[in-house]
Amino acid sequence: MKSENQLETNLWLQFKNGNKNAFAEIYKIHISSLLTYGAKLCSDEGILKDNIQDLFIELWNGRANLANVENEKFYLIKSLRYKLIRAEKKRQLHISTDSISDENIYKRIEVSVESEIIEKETRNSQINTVRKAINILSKRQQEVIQLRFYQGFTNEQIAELMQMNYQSVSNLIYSSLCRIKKNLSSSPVFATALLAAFSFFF
Amino acid sequence: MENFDENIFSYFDDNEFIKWVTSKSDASDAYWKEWMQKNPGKIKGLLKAKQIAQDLSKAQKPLNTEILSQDIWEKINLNIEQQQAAISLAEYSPRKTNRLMIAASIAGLLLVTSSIYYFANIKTNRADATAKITSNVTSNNLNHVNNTSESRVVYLVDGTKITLQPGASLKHAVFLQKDKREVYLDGDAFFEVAKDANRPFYVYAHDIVLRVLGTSFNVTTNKKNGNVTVLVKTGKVSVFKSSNKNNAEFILTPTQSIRYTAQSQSIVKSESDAELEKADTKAQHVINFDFEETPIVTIFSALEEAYGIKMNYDEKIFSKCIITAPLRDEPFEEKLKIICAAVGAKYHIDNNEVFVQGTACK
Repeated sequence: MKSENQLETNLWLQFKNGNKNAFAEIYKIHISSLLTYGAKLCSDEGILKDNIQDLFIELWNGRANLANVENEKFYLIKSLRYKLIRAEKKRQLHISTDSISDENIYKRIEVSVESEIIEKETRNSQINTVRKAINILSKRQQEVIQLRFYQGFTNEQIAELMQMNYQSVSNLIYSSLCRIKKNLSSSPVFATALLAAFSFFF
Repeated sequence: MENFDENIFSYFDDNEFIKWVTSKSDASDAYWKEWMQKNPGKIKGLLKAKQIAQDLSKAQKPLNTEILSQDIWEKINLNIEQQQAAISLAEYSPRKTNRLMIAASIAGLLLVTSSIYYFANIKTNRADATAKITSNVTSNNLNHVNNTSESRVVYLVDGTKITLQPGASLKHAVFLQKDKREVYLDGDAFFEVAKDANRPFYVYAHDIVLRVLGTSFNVTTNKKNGNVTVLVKTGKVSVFKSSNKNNAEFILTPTQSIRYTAQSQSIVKSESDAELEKADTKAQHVINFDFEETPIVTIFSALEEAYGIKMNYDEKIFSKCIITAPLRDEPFEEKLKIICAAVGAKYHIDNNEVFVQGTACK
């Protein structure tokens, strides 16, 4: 882990000095996380792509003035979150001038990029069942589950990202897990073949 | 039935556990192996928690990120390359060059006149046009000494110009491929540092260190007592004591100066318009990079001499190449690019030496 971090720090320094290969390497390391996270926040693939593109172009153009970041992934995810929420608010302003909260933004995303792609994937896999159980959570619950179990952030980092206090993060994760468990138990497929696989939820 | 297992959740609340299941790490593996040895009764619960966490993680990977990823990178890359192309076009298009040249000449004239204005300490004006800058090309460390009785200009590869007063010397490693620009000064000199935000420029003068990004300033050092005076003309200069390089003692802006007294190790800052006005001197020896109908081989040796960078090329191949290149204050590599472009040659830099390759001119 340490050597990995050092490697990243090194890359970051090289990138800051104008090394484009290092920049490309940073992109390669983190793009998958960014896309997966972005898809949770943004329903429009085009907007997501544009914002990731902008994020990296701004990084490149502003590289000379960038601080040394402790955790690249956290820095990138945080920047992307900020961008996507702003993009979403901007889009909403065109629709109505009502007060817009983060929760509204989450709610209005019904058909997301990911759900389309899920359909193309193997339908009856166990993972898919869990995925479906996650996808009917509130957007905030979905976000926190991803940040914790996929992105692997600490509760402190999640608190900073989602602008909550530390204990609320833990509570939100717990309540999300309860919901997932409930969703799984009411899943029709669950009762039969997958019972064994998901018994751990009980 | 409705609640999630508290025992399993306690693992999910543990950052070390999350680190273990989300990223590969030998240290983490070792930690949990040891943990399992110490807590054999809890292994079952731990592994269960691990499996749930992994499934929750896998459930997050619905996107085919490969194609999207490539798609986005191509756009980023295109954007960056277009920006760079736009920059080099502005620099190299012949028409623009002409206009730039005129503007640059005027600016240069102003610079020279104003530089003259700021040299307060030159007494002798004896013209010695044949004198050369003493530089040695042999090693990576360059040593410029002004043994003449008039001021001498030293050109650094980044485009920085330093005017050494009689008796002054400047030492530095070739920073063609370095990420720092550092020079050591003894005596008096006027610096016109080329802007390069990525590579701060450091001047070491006795006990004083100056850090600048791109600016012009005058430094006076006294060999006997170690006193240092710095006077800023343009831009900003951070002043450090070499004993404490982390904290700047002062940040100087135009017309401000500091005087460092070695004996008391004290630095005094002052406004110094009065001192600036006393300037009286004649033009310094300036290397002419304005090559008209010049054999490229001659240009190469002029560059070699001015910058102290060894140029490797085949004299036979380039013997018939004659070009006109009105060069000025460009950094070394810019000059090299322009010259090579003129004859379709290519260059690369290795171990602070330049290697030029091309085909014979007709």
